[in-house]
Amino acid sequence: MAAMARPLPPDFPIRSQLLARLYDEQRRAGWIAPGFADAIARELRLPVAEVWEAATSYADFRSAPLIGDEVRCAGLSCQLARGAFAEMPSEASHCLFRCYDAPATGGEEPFPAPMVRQAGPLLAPDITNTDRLNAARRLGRDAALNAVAESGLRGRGGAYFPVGTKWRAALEERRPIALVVNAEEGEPGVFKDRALLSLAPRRVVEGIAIAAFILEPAVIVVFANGQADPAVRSLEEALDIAEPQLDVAIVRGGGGYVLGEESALLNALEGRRPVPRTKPPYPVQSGLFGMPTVVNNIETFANLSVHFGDVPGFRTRGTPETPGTKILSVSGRVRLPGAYEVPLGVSLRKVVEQSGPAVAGEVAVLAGGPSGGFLSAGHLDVPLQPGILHATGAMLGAGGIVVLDAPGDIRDAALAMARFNAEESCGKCTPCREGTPRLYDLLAAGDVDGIDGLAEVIQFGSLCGLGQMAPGPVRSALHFWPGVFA
Amino acid sequence: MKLNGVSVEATGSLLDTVLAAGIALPHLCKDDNLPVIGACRTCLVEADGRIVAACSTPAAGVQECATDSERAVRIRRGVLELTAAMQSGPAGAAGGPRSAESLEAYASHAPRPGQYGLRSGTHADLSNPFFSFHEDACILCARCVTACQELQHIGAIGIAGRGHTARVTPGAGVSFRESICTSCGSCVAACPTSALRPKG
Amino acid sequence: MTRAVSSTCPYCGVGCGIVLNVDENDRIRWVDDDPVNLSSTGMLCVKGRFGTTFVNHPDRIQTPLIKRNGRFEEATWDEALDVVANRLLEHRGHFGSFASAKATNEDAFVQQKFVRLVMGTNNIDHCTRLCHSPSVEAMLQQLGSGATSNSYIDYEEASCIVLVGCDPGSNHPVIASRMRRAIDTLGTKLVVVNPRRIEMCDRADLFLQPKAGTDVALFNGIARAVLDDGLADVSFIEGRTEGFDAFVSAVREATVEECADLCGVAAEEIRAAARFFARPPARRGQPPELRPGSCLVWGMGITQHTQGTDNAHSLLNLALLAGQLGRPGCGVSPLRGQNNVQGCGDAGCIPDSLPGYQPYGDAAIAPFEQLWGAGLPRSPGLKATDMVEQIASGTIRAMYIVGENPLLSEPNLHHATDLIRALDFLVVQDLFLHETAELADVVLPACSFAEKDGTFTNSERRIQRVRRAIAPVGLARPDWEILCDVARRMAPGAGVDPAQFAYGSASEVFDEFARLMPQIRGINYERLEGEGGIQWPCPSPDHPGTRYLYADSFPRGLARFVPVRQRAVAEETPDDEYPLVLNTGRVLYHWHGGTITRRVAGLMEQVDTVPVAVHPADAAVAGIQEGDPVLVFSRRGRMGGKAVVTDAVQPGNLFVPFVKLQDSAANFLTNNVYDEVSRIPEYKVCAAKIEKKRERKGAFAR
Ligand code: SF4
Ligand code: SF4
Ligand code: SF4
Ligand code: FES
Repeated sequence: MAAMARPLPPDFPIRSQLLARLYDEQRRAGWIAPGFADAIARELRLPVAEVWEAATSYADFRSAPLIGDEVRCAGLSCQLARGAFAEMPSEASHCLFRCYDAPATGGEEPFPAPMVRQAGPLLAPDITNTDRLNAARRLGRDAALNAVAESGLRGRGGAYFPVGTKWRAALEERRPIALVVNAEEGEPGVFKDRALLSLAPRRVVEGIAIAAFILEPAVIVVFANGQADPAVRSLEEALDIAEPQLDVAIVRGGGGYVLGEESALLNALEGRRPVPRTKPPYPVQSGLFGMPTVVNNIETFANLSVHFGDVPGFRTRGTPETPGTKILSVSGRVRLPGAYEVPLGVSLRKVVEQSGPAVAGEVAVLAGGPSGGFLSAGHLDVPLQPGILHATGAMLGAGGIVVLDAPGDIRDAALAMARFNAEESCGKCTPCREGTPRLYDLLAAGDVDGIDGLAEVIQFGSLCGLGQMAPGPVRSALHFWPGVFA
Repeated sequence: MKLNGVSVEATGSLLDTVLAAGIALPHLCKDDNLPVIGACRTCLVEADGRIVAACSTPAAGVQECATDSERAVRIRRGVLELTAAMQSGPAGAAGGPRSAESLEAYASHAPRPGQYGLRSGTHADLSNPFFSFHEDACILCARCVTACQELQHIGAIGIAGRGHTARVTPGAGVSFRESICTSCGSCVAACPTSALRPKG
Repeated sequence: MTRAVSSTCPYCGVGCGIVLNVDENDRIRWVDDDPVNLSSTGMLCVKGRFGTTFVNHPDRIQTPLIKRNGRFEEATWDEALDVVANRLLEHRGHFGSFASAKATNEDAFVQQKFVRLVMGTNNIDHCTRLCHSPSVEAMLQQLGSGATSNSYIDYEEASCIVLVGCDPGSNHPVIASRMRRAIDTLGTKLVVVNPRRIEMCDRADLFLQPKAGTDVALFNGIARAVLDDGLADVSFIEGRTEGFDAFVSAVREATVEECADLCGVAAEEIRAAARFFARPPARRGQPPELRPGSCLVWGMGITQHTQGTDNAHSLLNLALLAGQLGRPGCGVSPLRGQNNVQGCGDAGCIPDSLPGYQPYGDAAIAPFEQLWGAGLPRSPGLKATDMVEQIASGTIRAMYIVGENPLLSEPNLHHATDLIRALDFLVVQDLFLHETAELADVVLPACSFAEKDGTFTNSERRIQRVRRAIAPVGLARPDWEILCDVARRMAPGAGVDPAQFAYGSASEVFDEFARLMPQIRGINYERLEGEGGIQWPCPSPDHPGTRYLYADSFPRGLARFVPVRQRAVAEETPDDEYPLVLNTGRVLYHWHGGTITRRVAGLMEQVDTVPVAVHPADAAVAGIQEGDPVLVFSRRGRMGGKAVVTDAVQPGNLFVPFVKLQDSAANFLTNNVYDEVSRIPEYKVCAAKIEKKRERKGAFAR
């Protein structure tokens, strides 16, 4: 297992080794004992309480040994496939990220090529040379940076922030930069990072190399999902043969939806409790151990490679505001689940039709997972682009599309999302920590009158996106199908 | 900058500006001795139409800030209702020097009693000779932990567990006395409730 | 309603700002930290926060006491002061006085004025003799000033901190916090040198554990490594120092390996320490134009040896060799134990110089004689330890002891007790009727820090206000007022103008002190009120105070290397009968001998018996387990305690804090042998043995 992690630079603050040590211990022993926390605290010269904070704050780390059950996926599509939303055992995994293979059990596997239902430049057969990196090099750093800015490329993690703007902000700090590659992929129903890493790892690595050329980072860290062994192995192999060699550390995460929040991810890398920080300062100003830090998603790096392969052509796909393609993860009640690479701006209805819905009643869609919302059949004619797809919550986000049977699946699906958010709240801020479990309770009890007020407090009061967007599935389900909760 | 319609000078964070103007605003996780935490969300104000936490929003760049807008007050009240529902301990329990802060916040926002059922911990730790910890009053504002880790750099306590299992925890789940706590009292000094209270 | 009064912590030399919250019954309800205090930056430790309840302890002496027929009787102030004045007049010429490093600068200043002007002697000293006199001697000789050269902020701006023979986590907790802040957030390197594994070792990059008494060998070894590896600061040595060649030849007498053998530390670690100290890797945020600095910080592990002064020389030599002085983020700091040990020395409560460390030469003494209107003695007085030893010869027959309990702090307590008993006349002025006070002829009740105005000077030379927060307990009065009353009564008999002791307030006392000590001439109460504490030197009213010394020059011009060589490790070394080395120190929850902290219930709850740290191997030999009651013996006495079995001490070593609990104290065991130069006793090393205490089986069991 150690082979799938690469250590951070030795002169990095010693506490940055904590997550890796906890991860190894969890995999070795199946849990993290207080005695281990004591020993590791001594070794890393940290107070044991700070070690314990981290050890108890990840979805996949246990502070008691796991006894019993096979790991079964509790993700939405697998629950649908299993046909029952029975109480899952508490040790169930939230999502095994094989929603295309529902109902999934057991461990992860390499993303199967046939599950790419529609390929574009990102999921095209992997590259075999470094032409695009060379193209960027020929431009020189400044011109290459300008090219990135002018391409209109936006981050693919879900927030769609312009990449050039982010990079310029970091470079303006005029201090050594940290480049963090986010391969945590913890949103149930989304498996596109795994698809990319399994099928086109060299494209991803070349994108990282291009970013490294432009940003000249002092350190490059891939934060890789702790479960996704096959994908990480594939990335490792691509790094091993990368030319020129990149000095990249790989840190495996402990799981948790909140790691989608950049600053929580940085806290995790620093060996702290993985909770979001207040902003400002933004990570580009002061991120990993105070360095200006650029965090970008795997898919963003793959896009970089694509872009430098055909600079003028990049803008011809997608919309003028958000050029390029996006990999959607489609699952649920469809005949053809899998990865669909589509130009941004394509109509949702088209994608749904392509995937072959198999429902008894009407088609409904959950777009954007636990942070998104539901759409009824009448609202599928929206172009898939950043920003909200419907005022009640649906959004593109990381590109998770779950096709559902309305009204049959709605109550269960909405409750599953509410429960997920309540369980994944990191616990830092009051509205989310206290509010999301109550939102679930109210919904489960059919007590819909109080929901609006509470949803407002959670949405506007919470510190980070997890809480701010948690009311989406609940609100949208109530909006379209008020009857099912009575 | 305009604050509740009156021109004031913007200094530091919005919270600094608000307090400098003599306007009361709860700020249950911001102690003037500690860095910004941003956990309690009781300092929400409306700034140029957006609801933001005053403690972590720089005043510079904000044109209009309202602490008293109907929406801001409503959301703050909602947050305080969720906060109050974490406390099942005796309301008037004597706390440390900052414990009045939470009582004042409630007094000024009239949270509807019982809006949410109680959801409080029950753990109590009496092991330290100088102070005690009562989870039934703790609102997980993290001031104590920040004081211990980032002011004193001792790190005797942390917040273990995530989501609604989070709890102020000495060491790897031991008592204060068994932890490396030096009894410096900075956590007690910071606590805005009676969760950490001096003995005697 | 409570009121809040800002003041300064009465415990250790860190000098944290405290805010006393006092209720309507004049009780201190809560002690808050003071975020604007520049020394403590919003921090406190357990003693400052929770340890001030002693102020209202029922044991406080409420009235003056006069001993008649072997028993104390309550007296009025007039009765008691008359007795003191009359008896002391008889004893001019064989008199000595201990000042208190816990009292204010004002108290100290008036006391030395009384001793010099009225008693006509320089026999005045205080506890620095027992803690840092070797440091002060060595620094005066090599640099020209005995003060800490830097400030706490320099620990936060250092790239490396070297802690030698000190345990700041226990004794200077807030300094420890500031160091941890640098280590945790800036990646500052930490090197710990200590025979015992102290708490700060948890954060250390390097931990050297030398054998007791081999410090000179160790630091000469580090110096040798600095020289060998070309790490010396040549331009500093050439421009700012003298005596380098003699130093080099002394250091070259032993190789790093030879030194390593002697002190039981690996040669590689000696070399690593040399690199860290002389050329530390830059901390995060180090300004590129400044060379990364190293702070050298030491405590009594260096000084309380018969070769204490040599040890201090070897440290200072190292600082000079590496040029780690006179910039931000470096410097030398002897950590001062008591709240006002710096100020007590500044104010002149030392036998060999006047206030401001001015020698008895004509030029320095003239302003004093002029202002005080009488001649002053010009020969150095006796040092504290000698004063006690000289009771036997009759040289000292009367003593006036303010705020000190030598019968806890002197070595070999049985011997010291016999000597104090032999005095003709003893006045003790204090808060509690402690071991020494019990033997006094007159006991005078003094105010605690909370009942009076004044100033303390902390380890970083910062003069800070102490403010009256509560009314005096009983008939207690501030030390300086009591001393003034005694002095005025004696003045005619001593040929002194009584008006010399007619101050209207502590502020007036301070003004006279500032007039006579050039380093603080720019400071007065008004400035302290407005600006908070000010660091001396502050020569003029518009001077902001000084963060670090020696930026451009040393008080003696060039700094001087003093070659030192390792001598015998200690006077008394283990043998068959006493096979272990006894080392003494402190614990966090008690302060000094414990006269005060024994009277704080919570502190006693934490630590109520003297903990005796013993290595598992030695414990096994003696059949001792964790928590067992034990007896420790030396040639001079015995004490009881509770075993703490820990590998924090090395095999063959015992560690005992010198606090007295349950009538047991380490100083019944320690050796009354002294460092030749500074006359500090060798508290840190003596031969001892340990036994498990046998349980008494019943009334008839033997
Ligand atoms: S919104 Fe939720 S996830 Fe985000 S900081 Fe608050 S508690 Fe944590
Ligand atoms: S104990 Fe007090 S300071 Fe600590 S989290 Fe709870 S309420 Fe906040
Ligand atoms: S009293 Fe203990 S827990 Fe509280 S801040 Fe101090 S060391 Fe930390
Ligand atoms: S005071 Fe602003 S979030 Fe707590």
